[in-house]
Amino acid sequence: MSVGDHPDFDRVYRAHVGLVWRCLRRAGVPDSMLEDATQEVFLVHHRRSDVPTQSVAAWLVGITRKVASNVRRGEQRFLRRIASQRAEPGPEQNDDPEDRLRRSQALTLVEAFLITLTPALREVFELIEIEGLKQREVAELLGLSINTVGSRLRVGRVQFEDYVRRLDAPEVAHG
Amino acid sequence: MVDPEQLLASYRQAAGPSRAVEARMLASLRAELAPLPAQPAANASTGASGLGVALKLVTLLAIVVVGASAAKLVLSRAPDASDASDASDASVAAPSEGSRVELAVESPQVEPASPSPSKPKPTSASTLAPREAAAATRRSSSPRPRAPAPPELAEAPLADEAKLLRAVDSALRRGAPAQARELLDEYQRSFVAGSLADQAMVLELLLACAEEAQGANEVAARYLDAHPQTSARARIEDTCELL
Repeated sequence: MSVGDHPDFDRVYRAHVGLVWRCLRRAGVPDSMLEDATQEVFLVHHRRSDVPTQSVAAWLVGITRKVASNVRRGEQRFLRRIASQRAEPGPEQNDDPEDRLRRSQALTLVEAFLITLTPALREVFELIEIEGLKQREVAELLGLSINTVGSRLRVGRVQFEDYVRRLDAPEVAHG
Repeated sequence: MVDPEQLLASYRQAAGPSRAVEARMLASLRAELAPLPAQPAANASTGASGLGVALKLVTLLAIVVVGASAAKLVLSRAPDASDASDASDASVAAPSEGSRVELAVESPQVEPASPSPSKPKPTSASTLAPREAAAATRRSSSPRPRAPAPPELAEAPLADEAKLLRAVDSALRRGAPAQARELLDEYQRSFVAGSLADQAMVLELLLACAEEAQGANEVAARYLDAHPQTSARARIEDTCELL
């Protein structure tokens, strides 16, 4: 079956490839396996007939979590190699060095913040604040009440704002 | 002044795939989903060859790593205590009742292992269901056009630090302290005075608690006393069962 038989495939791919990639990355899939894992998510999307017309992003996050889990199970023996792999995905050919530096710093700062969150807060913060899912979608995806999601989101936002405020202060280094 | 929204927007860009990678994956998916003219008979042997290379690499790396002496987290009790020290020293003094629990990182003695000169792409076949294995092998074994390696960037070491700490964090979160320890040791060997030493310190604490190291909880409590504003408070309290 060709992609041409699924005219929505490209649209879904382009709209959500960043979300899938970032979710896999944060789930611990090493850079060297991100491309294969991302493609696997979209292959599952292509094969499955139960893809919802609404909340495709949330559905893809669910698939992404399963694929990440599969990758991690088979990836234990490569863990040491993760540490030795230094190359990040290459920058755009015409990328402005200042933009690249800004993004690199943002990557470092946000990841440093995410490390400080409890798993429960982090999951909600990532999916809503970073990936733009709706609270209702996240509640359904994680099996939580919408009140719990809202409460965790508020705490995560407060912590993030506090973290950003302290970026200019000397104590930011204390994480 | 950092704008939180702008920071997250920049993060989204940085943590996502580049346009070139996006296009490459889409082309690969299109090829994958297009009707195949014939089932390539060489798939199985190609996959086996890929796994063989991976196993050789792992073996080689194991030899290198086993030969090196790792930096150790030492949680020891000593009779002569000193006052609480700053986390930036990577050490935290402990309870003052005559004994001391000290979290210290020995000076690294070993040069970091050299990265592999080539970066072979691991096949995903071993990580996927058998039904998908052949397809994954085909995707992985077919050479993809790669962008030329970028020139060294000034920010690369910071990105390397963040990447390694992310791997430590990920191992901790999935309940794999042994792997987290290996990666943290790697961090400590590679970044003696890293820019993210404080984040590494937090991970060190969390790992010590996860490993149920003697005195880890007291050290964690002392750390929180010394850094009451740390945004990692909830996670430390949770992991180290301080509540």
